[in-house]
Amino acid sequence: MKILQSLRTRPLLVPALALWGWQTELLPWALLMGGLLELPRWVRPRLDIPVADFNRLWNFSTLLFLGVGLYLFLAREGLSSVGNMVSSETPGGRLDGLRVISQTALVFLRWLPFVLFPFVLAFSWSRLEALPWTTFSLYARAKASRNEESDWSTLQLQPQHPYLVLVLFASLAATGNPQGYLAAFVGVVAVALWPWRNPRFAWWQQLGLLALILGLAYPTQRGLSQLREAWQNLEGRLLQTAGAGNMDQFRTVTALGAVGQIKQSGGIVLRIRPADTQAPGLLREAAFNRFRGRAWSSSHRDFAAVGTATEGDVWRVVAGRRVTQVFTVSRYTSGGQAPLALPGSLLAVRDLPLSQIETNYLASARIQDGPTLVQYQVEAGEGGGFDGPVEAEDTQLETLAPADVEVITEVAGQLGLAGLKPEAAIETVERFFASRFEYSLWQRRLPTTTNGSPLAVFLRQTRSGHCEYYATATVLLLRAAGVPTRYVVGFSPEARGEEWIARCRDAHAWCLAWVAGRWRDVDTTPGSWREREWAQAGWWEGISDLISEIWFRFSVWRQTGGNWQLVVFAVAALVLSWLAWRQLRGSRWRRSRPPTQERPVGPPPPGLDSEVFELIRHWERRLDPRQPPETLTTWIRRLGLFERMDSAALAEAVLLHQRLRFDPRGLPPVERERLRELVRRLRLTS
Amino acid sequence: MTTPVQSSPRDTYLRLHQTIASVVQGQETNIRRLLAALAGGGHVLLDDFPGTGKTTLAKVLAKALTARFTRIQFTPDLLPSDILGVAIFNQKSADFEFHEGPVFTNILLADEINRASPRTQSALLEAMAEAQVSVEGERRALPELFFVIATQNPVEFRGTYPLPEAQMDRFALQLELGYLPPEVETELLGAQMREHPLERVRPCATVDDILALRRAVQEVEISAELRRYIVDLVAATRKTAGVRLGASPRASLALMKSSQALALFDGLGWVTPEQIQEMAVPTLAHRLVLDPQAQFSGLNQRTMVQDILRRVPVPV
Repeated sequence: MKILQSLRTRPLLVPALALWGWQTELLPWALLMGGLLELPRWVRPRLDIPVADFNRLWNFSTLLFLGVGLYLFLAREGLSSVGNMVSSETPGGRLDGLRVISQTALVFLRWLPFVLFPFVLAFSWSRLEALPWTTFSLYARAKASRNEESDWSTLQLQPQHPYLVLVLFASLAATGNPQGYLAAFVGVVAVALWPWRNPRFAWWQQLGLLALILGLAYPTQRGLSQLREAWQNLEGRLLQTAGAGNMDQFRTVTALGAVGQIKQSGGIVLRIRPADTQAPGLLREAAFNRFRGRAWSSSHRDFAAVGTATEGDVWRVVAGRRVTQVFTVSRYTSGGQAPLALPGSLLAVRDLPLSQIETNYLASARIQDGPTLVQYQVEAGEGGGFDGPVEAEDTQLETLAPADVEVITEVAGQLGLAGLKPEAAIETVERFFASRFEYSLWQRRLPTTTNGSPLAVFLRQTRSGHCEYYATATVLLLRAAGVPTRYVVGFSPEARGEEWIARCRDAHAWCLAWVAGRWRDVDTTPGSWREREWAQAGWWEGISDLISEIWFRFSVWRQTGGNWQLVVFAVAALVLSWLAWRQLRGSRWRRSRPPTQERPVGPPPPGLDSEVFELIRHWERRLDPRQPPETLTTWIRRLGLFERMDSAALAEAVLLHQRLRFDPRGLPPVERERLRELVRRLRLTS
Repeated sequence: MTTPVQSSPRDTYLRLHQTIASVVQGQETNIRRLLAALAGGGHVLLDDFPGTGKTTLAKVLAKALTARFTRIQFTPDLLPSDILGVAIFNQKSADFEFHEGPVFTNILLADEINRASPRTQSALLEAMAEAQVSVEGERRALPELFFVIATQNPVEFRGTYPLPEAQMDRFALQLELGYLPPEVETELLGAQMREHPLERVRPCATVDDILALRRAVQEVEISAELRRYIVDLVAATRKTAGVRLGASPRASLALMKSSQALALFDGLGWVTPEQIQEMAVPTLAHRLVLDPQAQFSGLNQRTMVQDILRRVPVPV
């Protein structure tokens, strides 16, 4: 409390603001601000600002605070820094984002004295001694308006005190002139505390103590900065080694049921816009060739870059073929990486905004370190594709579990696949699944601790399942027939207007069979699967599609160079302006309202026809308005009217007026006429 | 110019005021308010530091009236029967005879009332509210003029029992005399160099005069608009943040009656808003119970009521 009193009695804002101005190189402004704030100590005129106006002024200041904060955040790449902090794969990237954010916060703190200056200035020039806590808290204001009690509601605050602390903090945040700053800062604080020094010590001892503090502070400050430099060097070395390890490759293994898990969502994964009306067909994301247990894996885990783009942004996989199909695929990446959904007959990929694509032997393609949204154009045609040639793994049945081998051998025997030509074998298998199986969404969690084979359950018992079972069974049955096959997962897009989309629900698995010297898609899943999946769509899917579409378009716009920061700032400026306008409007509206006195019920009070009301209006216009809680006599005394005009006549008029107003017996006619005459006389002299 | 409604009761007031002011110097406003409570039929609590003239004020009022005056010095061992009276068995008449206590009087000075136990303090409750006491199951009426002036010292807490809220509510007004300005205190020293001016006080009014004054106060008019203003002020005490217990309807009555008395003292037959505002703090402040948080932040009952006066719109 003593400290607060010292702040009240000493013009400390001037040195504090000077300190801040010196550091921020705004010294003339700071001195002007300090002078304006402290001038009321020596001059008498004051503004009559009610607390309600301070409430509105505080709302303004809050909006200004938010507006400046938002501006700095956007102007200093705040959003992208936060994005880096969240999405960066490397600790260095995250630290960089953090550094930008903290620098923005420091700049914001440095500017805060400007932001709150209008509010503190208004208070300095007002007649009020302190402001209630409710001015600074909307919550407390709401509670007070509901007449609810609050522990803080009776607290009063002088805004200069927190403002002084804020200015000192803001000066700390600036780094303009480090030399001598510490001494100046300690000096301001010492001046504030000087009257409350310990009286047992002489003044020279106190000053000596101050000098000792400064003497110790400077070496400490130097030591701290050396420590910081040492840390920064160490940090740099740590960051060079951190994050150097390769991340796990994705999509090297897929268990039966993985696609089923994906299918449970209706979210849009791919957006495909064909150049013509041709359907994009099956788009593969990964291929596998080894089935073990109940999971597919790849014998080729290594990915290799396909080389650099040629002819601008073109990655040509197969050259010299005729392009029969062109479409553009858009998808979001996860932390910059994503598999590329491509058709089996791929010829080229265009317009990918990155430096390289990686593929593997099984024609899986992926990107790393891409943007949040990637868009690429796909060209496909006869003879396309970059699948590796047939190898031993593509015909392998030995890796299978014995139960799987048994059921595959059994079914292959029943179908008479042995010895059939590849086309015939494929036809037989397709017919087999089309005639005797049905599609179901049933996905019973498979027992993992027993030797039960889900494939055996599918082929022998249920004869019902989703695409992964059909694809796996087809791959293995064709291998039993001697046809080299691979297992592929990807999407089967659905049409939506002019474009095609692939939802999670459209995730699909199928078989790749080597027929007549090339790989051919063999999809044995019953055609009813899409209808069955559609039936699972929730009622909210339209809403989520709309939101997704809006976000997609916004992302495309951002990606194509749209100034999104300007838009965010414009929207925020509109919102803040609207709030500010509400404040202004509310202010006028409240002022034009009569005082919050309830309207009396019943006949109007007597004496409202008194001519003194004319005088009151006249004086209110020419002098100072009467405050609602002021009695007539108090107001007239405050205006000094008794000294400025015929005081006897004025006193008599007031008394007659009050009798007319407050004596239920009223005013006799003679005295009523006397009141009129007195008012006429006063009107002439005022 | 308007003429006073009744000159005689106002003369009574002026005589009393002049007599008391000749002894208790520099307290014109508080004397006016004390007499307003007397004329309005209320009781007064004088709350201030020792030596500020509380007891003197009560004594000079008693001496200025030709009325029965008793003084009770409240102590922790004081019993209710010491105030109300006691029934004693008379062997001659073979019956209980009631011996009236000091409460059966016209002017009762309850000195240092907060030194008595709550039980004894409560013995005054019925007397102050209903002008009667119940002893041994029998109700006994007090004289028609029964006026209690209680004093208490706000700084001493050891061996005291703060008055409960119900008892505080029985007092129409609480007055704080305060220290005198140096020049007035210098005059006071000169006036009391040889003898206390109290010795020179002679009665200037009778009980009948005071009863007539009270009747005249009841005749003073107050408009419906100002009655509503009183209710608004009192209602505001119940809604003010930091106030745990606001003023009661009894406070509204006390404010109205003391304002009527002031109007009569001012020579008016009707109440003006100024008189209500003048009596608001003495009649309302002592009835408020504040939150500990409000007290901690430096607020008190008087500033609360002053703040309410600055907020509630007044009719003009």
